[in-house]
Amino acid sequence: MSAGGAGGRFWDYLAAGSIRVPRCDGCGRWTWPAQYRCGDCGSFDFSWTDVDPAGEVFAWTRTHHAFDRSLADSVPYTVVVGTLPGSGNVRLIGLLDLEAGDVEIGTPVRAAVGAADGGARVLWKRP
Amino acid sequence: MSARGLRGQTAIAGIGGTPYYKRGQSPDPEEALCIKAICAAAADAGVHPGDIDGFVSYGGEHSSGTQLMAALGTRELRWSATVWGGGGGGIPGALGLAAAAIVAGQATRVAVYRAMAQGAGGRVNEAVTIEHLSPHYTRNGIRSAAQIMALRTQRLLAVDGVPASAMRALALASYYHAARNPEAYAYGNTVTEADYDASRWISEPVRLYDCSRENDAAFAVLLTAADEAASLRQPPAYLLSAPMGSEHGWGEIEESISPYTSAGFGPVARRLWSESGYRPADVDSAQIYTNFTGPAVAAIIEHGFCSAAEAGEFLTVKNLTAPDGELPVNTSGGDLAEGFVHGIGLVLEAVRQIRGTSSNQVSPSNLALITGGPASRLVSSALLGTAATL
Repeated sequence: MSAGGAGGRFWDYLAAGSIRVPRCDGCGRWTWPAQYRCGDCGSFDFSWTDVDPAGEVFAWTRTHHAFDRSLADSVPYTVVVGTLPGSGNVRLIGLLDLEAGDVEIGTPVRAAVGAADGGARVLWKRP
Repeated sequence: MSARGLRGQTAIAGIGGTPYYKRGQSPDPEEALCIKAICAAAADAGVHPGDIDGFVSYGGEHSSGTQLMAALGTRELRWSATVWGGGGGGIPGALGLAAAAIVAGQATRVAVYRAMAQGAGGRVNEAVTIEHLSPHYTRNGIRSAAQIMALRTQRLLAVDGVPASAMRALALASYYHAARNPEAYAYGNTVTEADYDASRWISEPVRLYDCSRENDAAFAVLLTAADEAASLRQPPAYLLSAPMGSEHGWGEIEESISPYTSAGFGPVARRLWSESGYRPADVDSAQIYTNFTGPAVAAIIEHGFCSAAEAGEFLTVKNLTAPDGELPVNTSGGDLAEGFVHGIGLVLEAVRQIRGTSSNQVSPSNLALITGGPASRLVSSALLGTAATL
């Protein structure tokens, strides 16, 4: 899977400072990860829409092994899968802000745009 | 097609392989290892390698049938195919793919194999990474399947209520068996509860001892029609079912899969029991693909051996070890402790259990389960049986 495909525009919007996810023009479903066709209603048309950034931790892991060499100085770092209840409960993967402290499943967090090597990333912060 | 599907119509007639080498230390290139494994499986069955007319693999195998046929002296290549996607999820499915060819009259003797020499093929971790990891992972510090499985395992423990002791029991049972298997990489090593508890975090809640190895080696099995297998040198290990699949709510959709803590076996396990006509309680030993212990525990639950609520009570070292456990698993040491070539070793061990030649033999041993690739995008399972199970 490359940065292109049906979901490529996510990264363009993110680099421009907004977190957008496609909604199906046919049935309104937040279609995430992005697809070329809505598997529910069959529409090929989607509108990329700003998400409500209020979320909560769905899953997390604190990584101790420096799999990502660009984060070697940050070990252990925490990756969060967060849900966005105001935007169809879509799940976004992001890095937990180093100042956010410990989290558990269900901890309230807020989706923000953070800097990453070679572009932007989702950064989960405290609300 | 017959209404009975694949049940009992084919059998594994031969098994073979190379030794397990340390990753990157194989004296032979990957393709040479692969040829040796296939020739060993043919010799075990008493078949000339040139009479193998089908080649099936999975998980990014590099050696295709056309690549191997000149060296094997293949008289006619009739079937060359691979299971798409799923990494190690394709192993039992590859048996199903081979059996489908034989039952449909498209091939007669099919080698199912996997070879890996990391100097030539690149690290399996990287091969899996290329297949699985979108920028949503890689831009956020996820570069390894260990971390993805850690995310899901965290929820398996915290929400489903599976105790971490189940993961430890699976790891310790694997090491217990490897310690008694002279062919295992961890032969003679003792790993205790204290060793496990003291092992370092890789990505919480995954510890070092929860992770599979990576080795250089190659293994192959030879599948033939059941009646041919019965006329060959070894007792046949009949293939009773080998479904592959992925359920609604899954696919190439990163961490948006639902059900999330599933190992993906729901519909596959239902088809396995339905086609074979057996139930979990009938199984004598299970080779559970263990990339990481958390999803392997989920695989055991989804095959119906216990519920999430019962996992702590059922998944103990005592229950998981041969010869007397309720469900001896990974009786060669498995992916954690025997060695790891994308899980193909599990198939050979299941055959040894059916033949009665395992170094950790269970008794009686009529039914052997193999599960492949827990929590990968595509998973598969297979049930092997003796003639008595037909």
